[in-house]
Amino acid sequence: MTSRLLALCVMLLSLPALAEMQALDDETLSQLNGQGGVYLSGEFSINKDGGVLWSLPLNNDPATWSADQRSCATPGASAVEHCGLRIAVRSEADGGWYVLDNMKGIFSFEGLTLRTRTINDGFGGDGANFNQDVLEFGLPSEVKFKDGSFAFGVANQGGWQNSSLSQANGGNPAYQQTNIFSAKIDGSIRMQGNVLIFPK
Amino acid sequence: MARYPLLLLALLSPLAQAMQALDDQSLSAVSGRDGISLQTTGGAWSASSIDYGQDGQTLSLKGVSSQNQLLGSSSTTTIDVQDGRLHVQHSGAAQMLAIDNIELAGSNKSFGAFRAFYTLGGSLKLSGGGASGVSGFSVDDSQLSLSAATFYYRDNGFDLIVQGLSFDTYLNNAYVDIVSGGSGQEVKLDLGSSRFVASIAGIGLDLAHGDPIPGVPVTPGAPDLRDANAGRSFGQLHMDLNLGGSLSIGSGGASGEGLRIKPNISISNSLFQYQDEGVLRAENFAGSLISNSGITLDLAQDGQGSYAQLAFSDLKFNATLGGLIMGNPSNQKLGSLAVDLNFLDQGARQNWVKLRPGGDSNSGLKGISADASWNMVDSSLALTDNGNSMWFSGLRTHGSGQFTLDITKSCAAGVSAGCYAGSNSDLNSGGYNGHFDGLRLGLNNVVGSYSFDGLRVGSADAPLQGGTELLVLMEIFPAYDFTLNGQITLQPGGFSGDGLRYNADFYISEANAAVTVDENGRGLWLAGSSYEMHYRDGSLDVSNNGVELRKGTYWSKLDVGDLRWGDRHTGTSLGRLVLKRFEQGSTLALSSGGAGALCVGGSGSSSAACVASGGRWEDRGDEGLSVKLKNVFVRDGSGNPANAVSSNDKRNQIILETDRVGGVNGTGSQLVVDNFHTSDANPGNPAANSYGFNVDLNLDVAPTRVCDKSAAGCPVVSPDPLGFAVNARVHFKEMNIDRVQHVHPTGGAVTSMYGVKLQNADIRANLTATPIN
Repeated sequence: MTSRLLALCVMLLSLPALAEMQALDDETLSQLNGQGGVYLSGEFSINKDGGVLWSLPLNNDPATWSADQRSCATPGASAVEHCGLRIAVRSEADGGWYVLDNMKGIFSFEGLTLRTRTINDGFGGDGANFNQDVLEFGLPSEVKFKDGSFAFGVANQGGWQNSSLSQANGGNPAYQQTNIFSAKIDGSIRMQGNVLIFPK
Repeated sequence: MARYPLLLLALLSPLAQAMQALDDQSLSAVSGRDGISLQTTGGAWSASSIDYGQDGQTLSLKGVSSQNQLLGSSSTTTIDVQDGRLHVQHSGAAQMLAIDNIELAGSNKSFGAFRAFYTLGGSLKLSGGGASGVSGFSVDDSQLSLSAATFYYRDNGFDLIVQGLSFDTYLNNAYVDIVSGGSGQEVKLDLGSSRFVASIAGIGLDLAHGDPIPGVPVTPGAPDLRDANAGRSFGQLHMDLNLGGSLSIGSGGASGEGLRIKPNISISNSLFQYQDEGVLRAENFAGSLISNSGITLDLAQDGQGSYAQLAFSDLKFNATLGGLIMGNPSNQKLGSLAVDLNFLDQGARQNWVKLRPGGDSNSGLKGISADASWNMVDSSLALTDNGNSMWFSGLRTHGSGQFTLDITKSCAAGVSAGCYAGSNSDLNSGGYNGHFDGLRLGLNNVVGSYSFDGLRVGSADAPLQGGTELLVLMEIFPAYDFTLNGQITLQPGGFSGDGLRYNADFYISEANAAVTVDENGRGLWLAGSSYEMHYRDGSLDVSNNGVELRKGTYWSKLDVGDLRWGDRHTGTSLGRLVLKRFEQGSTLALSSGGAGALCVGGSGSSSAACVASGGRWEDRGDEGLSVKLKNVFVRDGSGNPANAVSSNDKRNQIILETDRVGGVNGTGSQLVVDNFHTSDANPGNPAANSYGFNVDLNLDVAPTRVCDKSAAGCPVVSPDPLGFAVNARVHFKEMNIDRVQHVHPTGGAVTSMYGVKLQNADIRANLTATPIN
């Protein structure tokens, strides 16, 4: 647990500010036979079969759902759809909430590598000045996205509740959420080179 | 048939057999030409002290006595010669042996008292000619049986009770020889193909001080039932070992006089089983235990007093636990686990245990202390899953410290004889320094470290690879060095049935843990860390679902001085990280069986559905290991003080601090994720919080699809190479963060987020680690 939170923290804090994409030259590529690293294949997914809070109802009419049911189908669709992860953030003491809702998708790849590397040469002469250890994420050449989606909106409370149900039935008629936009992602992208992470 | 004089009988009989005059009736039962039958009644003896002296030091057994459990019962011994072999058959009466105190001369403390109830039987068959066929003698086809045994170990008025113990020895092709060892003559027992069967029906504690009737010790038939937990047990053990090889005993310890035991023992086709509701069982246990220089036993003295030392400059133990079952025997198969442990002295890094009388300084004059030092080199652990093997290779560990073992009692239920409340008697505070009820293991300044070189998959000489990083989720770090203090106190009986319950406080300081590390020691380090952990009312059980660890009420504080890149001491630091946790009802469960069949890169519960969705169907077999971690984070109800960072111990909080002045904590800028907690998000019961933050891990050794990144277009490697497959799933119903604060040393604390709520998460990472190609 410690390490999970820590690793998450490191990733979240480090990536935006400190990560730089680097193209590998041939010489660097030829050195990728070290023993201390790891080559990872597989997938990373968010709610690929739905989440654990809401079960799937039989239809898309919220008035017929029970308190622990929710479908995240596109308005007007007939088929029900599992919901993704929901993140809500409140930036004012008594304000409303920003919501990233229905986040889900499958990201699969072959050849994500992780190792520690000392950079003390190359990079057009910058490497010698840099002279520091970095965590190197070698990017897989192709990442496939499948069934990716998310919606951005605002709501008057952090937790989702069914506004079509009475409070006695686990709903909340006063609950409001307005989705501003939503997106779906499918396909594959090419990601080459490395992400180097280091403190500065 | 020859008759043998009584002198021979006296020589062969153990000390416990006092010479008895035969009455007329017994003499009449001696039936002439077919050897001698001897029936012994009484047989009681006592000694005020039995001493073992060596190099000026003395180990004393005080107040030793032995007697039949039932007055008037008798033992029968027959001596005969059959087929050219002397045959001594002994059927003993139920005995009671008592030792009032075990002491080392010169110390006012002692190891405690000991009593044993047992019945001894045996069949000794002796003939001339040892293993080499000339000197020595054969003990082939001899048997020794210890049955109906109960042991009581008493420490400061409390008892540890081992019940229902039996031990049977079957010696086949076994010989005893006098041989020339490296340090003189040795007695060598050649085990041939001998079998040892042992079982223990229960191990319990009696925390009612002294005897129910003062001065009248309890017996197995009339146990002390005053302690509410008297009937509970740590579990049952059963072993059936087939041993070969030899065991040599010579004179001369590590220095001066002493004993030297050289094991060269092989283990084959053996069984080991621990039973609670479920079982931990190795159905085919094989291996060896070898020490070339021997295990020495010495009595010695240093500035702290007298001690008994057990030392070995080399010891190699390897074992394969085949057919490993964890939980339900019918469907919980783990595969097999192999260990290869090499202990070796290297300069100041040595292997020894110095046993001293008396335990914890607050636990009276009795108990056991041990100064221990260990150095293990180039060892490995291997897991075989559906025929595929993986080695945690290059395991090294060394360290030293002091351990104490006592039976203790808390004063929480009121002051009573033998209890210790401590100077801080609040059991639910981190500063509590009294005792808990149970068997207490104290840890004092245990300075140690361990590291792995990495993984090898497929064969023991396969290239080293990473992958131990994937175990960091379970707080198993690829490398760790630490100083450990604290205690863990165990009580018999688990959450249900057998098992154990525990209270523990651990203080780890000056620690460096690697999140990832390469062969040169460079990686991502949690450097200069301290870690304080407190457990109350935890339990450990083996159920039909596997091993279940309940953390009870748990709170901890991990303070990482520097999150370093590169070298653990000199790498560049990202800053300081503090993680505080407060949990109630958290669990960790281990079970057999890995991920089974699953869909990678798509979705679907069948091969056809998976492939149709664009995924790849991977079947990782029915063996493997599964781990379920559930963390129930509890909200701190003490409130969120405005413009300040809460310093409450029992709170979930993450602090990242950067730009400290002179490395002093609190002088930099802090980001604080404050009072995070889980919830069941149940509209009907907002306080419900039992689902928690869950991490499920399936560990397998399995082939996976890999492409060669060094070749143009990353062509697929064929056949699929084996890898360390970790299928991880993080799921929770709701995680809440009360607020996110930013703190500046002069500007104070401001809040940037007044709440974060995450709901309905089911995040999966299905990764297989193979060497970088």
